[in-house]
Amino acid sequence: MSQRPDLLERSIGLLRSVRLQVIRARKRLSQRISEPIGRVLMAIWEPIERLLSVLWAPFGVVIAALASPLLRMTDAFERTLFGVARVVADYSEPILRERPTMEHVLLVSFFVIGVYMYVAAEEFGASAQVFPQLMAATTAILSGLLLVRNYLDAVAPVALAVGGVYFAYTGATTWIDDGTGAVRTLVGAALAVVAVVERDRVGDATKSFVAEPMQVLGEDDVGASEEEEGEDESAATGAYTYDIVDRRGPAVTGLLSVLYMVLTFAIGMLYSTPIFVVMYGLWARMSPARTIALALFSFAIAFAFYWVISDDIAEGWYTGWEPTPPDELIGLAVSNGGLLVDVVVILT
Amino acid sequence: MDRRRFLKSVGVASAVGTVGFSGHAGAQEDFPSESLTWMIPWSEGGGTDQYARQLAPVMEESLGESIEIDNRPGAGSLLGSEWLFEQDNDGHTFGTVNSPGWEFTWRVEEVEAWEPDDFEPISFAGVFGYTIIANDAHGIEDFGDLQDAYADGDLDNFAYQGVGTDSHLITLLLRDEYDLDWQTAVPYDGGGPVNEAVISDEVPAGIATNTSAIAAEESGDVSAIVNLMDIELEAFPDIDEITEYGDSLAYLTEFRQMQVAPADTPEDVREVISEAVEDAVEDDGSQEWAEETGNILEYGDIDEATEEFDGTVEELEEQVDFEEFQERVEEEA
Amino acid sequence: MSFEVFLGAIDALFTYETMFWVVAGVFIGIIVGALPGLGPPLGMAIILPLTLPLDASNAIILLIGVYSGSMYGGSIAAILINTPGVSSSAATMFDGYPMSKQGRAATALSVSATASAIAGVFTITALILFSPVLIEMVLAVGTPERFLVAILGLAMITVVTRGSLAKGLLAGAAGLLVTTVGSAPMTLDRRYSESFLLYDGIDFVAVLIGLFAIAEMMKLAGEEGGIAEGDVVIGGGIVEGAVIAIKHPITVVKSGLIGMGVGSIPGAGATVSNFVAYSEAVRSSADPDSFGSGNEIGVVASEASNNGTVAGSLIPAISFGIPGSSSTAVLIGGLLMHDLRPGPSMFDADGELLLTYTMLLALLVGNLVILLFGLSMVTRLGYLTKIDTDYIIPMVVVLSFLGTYAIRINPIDIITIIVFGVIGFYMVRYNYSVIAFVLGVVLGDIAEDNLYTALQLSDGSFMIFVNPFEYGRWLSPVLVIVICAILFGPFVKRSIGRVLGT
Repeated sequence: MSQRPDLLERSIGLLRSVRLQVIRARKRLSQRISEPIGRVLMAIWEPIERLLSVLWAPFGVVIAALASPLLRMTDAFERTLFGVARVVADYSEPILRERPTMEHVLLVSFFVIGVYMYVAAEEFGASAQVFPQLMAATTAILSGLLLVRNYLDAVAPVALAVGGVYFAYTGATTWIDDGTGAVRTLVGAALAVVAVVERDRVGDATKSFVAEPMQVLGEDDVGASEEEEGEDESAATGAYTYDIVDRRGPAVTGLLSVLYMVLTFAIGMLYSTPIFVVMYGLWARMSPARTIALALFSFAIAFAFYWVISDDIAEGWYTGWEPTPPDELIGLAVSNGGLLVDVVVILT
Repeated sequence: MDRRRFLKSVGVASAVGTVGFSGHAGAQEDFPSESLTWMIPWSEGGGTDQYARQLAPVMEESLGESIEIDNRPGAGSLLGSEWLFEQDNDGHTFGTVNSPGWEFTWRVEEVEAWEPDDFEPISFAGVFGYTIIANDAHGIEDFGDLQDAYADGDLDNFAYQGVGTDSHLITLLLRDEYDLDWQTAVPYDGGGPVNEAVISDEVPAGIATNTSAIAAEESGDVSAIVNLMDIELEAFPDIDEITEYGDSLAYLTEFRQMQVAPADTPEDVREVISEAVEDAVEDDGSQEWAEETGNILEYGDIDEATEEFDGTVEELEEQVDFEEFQERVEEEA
Repeated sequence: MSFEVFLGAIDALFTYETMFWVVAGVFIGIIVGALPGLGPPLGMAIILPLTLPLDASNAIILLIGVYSGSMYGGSIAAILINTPGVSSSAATMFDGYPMSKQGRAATALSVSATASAIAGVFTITALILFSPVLIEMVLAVGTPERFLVAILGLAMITVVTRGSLAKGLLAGAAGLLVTTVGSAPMTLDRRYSESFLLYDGIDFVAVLIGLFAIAEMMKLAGEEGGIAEGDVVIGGGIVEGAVIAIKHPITVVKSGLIGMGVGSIPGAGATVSNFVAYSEAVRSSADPDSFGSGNEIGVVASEASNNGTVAGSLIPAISFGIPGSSSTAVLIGGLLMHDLRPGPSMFDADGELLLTYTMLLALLVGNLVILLFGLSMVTRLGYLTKIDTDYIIPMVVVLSFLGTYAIRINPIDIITIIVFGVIGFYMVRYNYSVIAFVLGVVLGDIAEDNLYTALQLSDGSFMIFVNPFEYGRWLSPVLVIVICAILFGPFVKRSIGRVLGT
């Protein structure tokens, strides 16, 4: 630690106190300005909010009336869905030897996609095949391994042995054909032998590959981390093990996004944006005033995109229909006068 | 397919409808009555885009309406063309295609939704084409040197602009019919990467457009070796010509920037646009730009454009055996 | 470096008009960057025609300002709402967003601004001083080197995987698999789809937005309160953030250099450099586990590298007219539109050297503008993390949809966002490395294309990557050694440790 000269000390102290004064003065100033502004704003907003709620009330009743059978249907649907899910889970639990979750759905999807893409790649030209098949095979194999992770003691050596025999066989046949493939034969044979003789080690190695959160760079011993697996999961993942308070939240958000997409294909993103926001607001039970305000805000943003970036977003992609955007509405009203003409043009 | 017809008919119906109800009598005579859209099937900053951005302001003056340049890149200009196919044919929307490269790509990709003949030509505004560039490190001055270098085995690789493109076919033809004995033809993803590869001497020579050859020469150690077009290049007055070594390749190597409109766009409307293009091409500012940058501005009116445009696909079919080309591409892969 | 011309450039720069364009460009750039999906190419493309009436110098300065500003702006969305505003801000999300959740959004934003500015200043200064050397180095990066850089990025998967290695590799392989959809580079095949909509493959920006923004919004929908889970600190956080960035000069410089180097590689240079810099920071840190839960150094590394990319990508653009990305392509288009030719003339004192220096100095000033703007105004945006998520979620979804769809009006993009949103949601839930997946998606095309071309060049021999004598490429063996060090280094270290009995 070095001793600073006294002069330096004092000037630093002076600077610090000046800074403190400035901060305090700024805080006082901002309080003095922002408080009255805040009060004025609230004074304006509150009656608006109340008015909107009153105006909304009849709509709210109608929507509630329409929605309640819909809600009952979705509830029933949800119950059947969960019922089915539970049955599937109960049946597959003994097969997987662990409680099935969406992770298994994810893994099965990866597996299926991997297999599909591998098979579909057979049609490609030789050099266009290599990469997709390699990646598809890797995806399928890894997801398969993860699916059977509770059987790895048995499965891993068997799989390795089978793989080794296969390599040995193909290597041998190519060797007989044209003299190449000796390496492959030897490697294959070696793998098969290892798989049979060192069953346990192969099983353990594969398990550590698959199950343990392994730090490639850490000092961890493979053995030690086995016990810590339970805690390690949450620690190693950082901030992202979370509790979902409301299971419906993500599902509804996803569903509404799909609806948003469908609406976009139908009537274009310009008008489907506020509709989406309103739907979300209704589900999240936001006050009607805020829902409307948010919907208007989102419409403004969509309009900004329409105007500045691309006016194609107002067109429904699938239907080719473009419900008249606001600028054309205003433009028509100004240039043509005559309500009839506007209506007819809008209809075409 | 039905959706396209449906969209087209909706488009036509609404065009007719708008005209009918717009309250103006004889709206065709008042063309253009709103701002126009000029579709460029390549991205901003590219060669074709620059032509458009140079000509558009002058055209706006002639037409009295603003022109919005709409870049729609993708699938080697096919996506933009497909979009243009579906637009209204009242003349307020038109686009640029580079013929015959566009027809070539259309044929190779076996597009079914539309045909080049579905579009109506308006004019052409510019010409560009291919040259061969080589890195100076190999001491190549003309095409003869290049032939010798490959024949002697001093050079092995030759770069072109993408599998299945017209430059791919040209590369094969150069070997088959012009004695350019390259060992390996290396495809890159477009003209820019080819230029880069030749500049850094990753490959000794490759196919580049005449305008990018200028840029390549200026950036250092690269020279344009031979002109693959028939048209002479002012920027390279002493350059070797491929026609000295064999037949003309112009049907593949010379491109015209054609302005085209969706099917059944009325001829008088297209005339108006064509005249505006003429004004823009002949404008002093544009001519200056062309000289400075090496871009070739050449105007062709509706009839000249139609002549060039019609029957391009048939001509290509005559000169090129597409099935054989596609097979060769598959084999060599 | 010509001193006279340099002084002339300073003179030309400090006029009201030029300064106005610098500030305007950076300001627009920050906004464009902050909006998900839009990105600098679109912003610059929109501005491009508007620059026609300006004179060459101001036009280029405006364009470059937008480019530079957007690199910083992308971090705003990344930190606040876990959405990569610019694909090269993806790695900022990994630690920036957790910081937001901890109520430290202002700190993160401030770190981002400071690191961006410092790295920007540093790399541009290097560019001004060392341009001839750098130009030579750009030429050394050819096809084989690009492939190796992609492999380097993929090797980083092993560094950043938190969960089991199998899960990380699965994620990486799946990501790479996604890139195989579309037209093949070496044959006429259109892989997995005949539709023209998929001709150019699945857009990786859409994948990023889906994986991070939509997935996160889905997750937030299941929780209560605002994004920040605790108290939100604004005031002190700003100073704290700036101090943190200043206190880690090594990370800033290293990441800036990585950004500059990798960013000069055409392709996904900026995005890749972002991940490489972040992974390098993780690898060289004393506490790798803390990354991913709000370690500020992660933000420093990521943001420093993406601003370094700007300088890096300018080298091939100005010296050869080679566009490294769509942004630089627009920039080159702007140069050409104003009758400037990229090439040696840009560095020639009798040619355009004045303009080049003015441009670079304007960029320097732009970075200072970023710093000021970022520290004063942007950090206030931290208040957004207090707002109840019920308002944030629909707005982010709307912005994601608009940003992605408006770029190329391709319906596949919207489907992509939603599908990968769902995938991302479950991947994070069950501890599959999303980073590995993203690395796969970003690097797949580069890896495959360049591998194929490299093998064409060498007639099928893999020696092109290893043998500098036969093929004259010195950079490839260097990269191979680095990759091996990353992959096998830890094992070697451990075995040596065991042998030595420690």
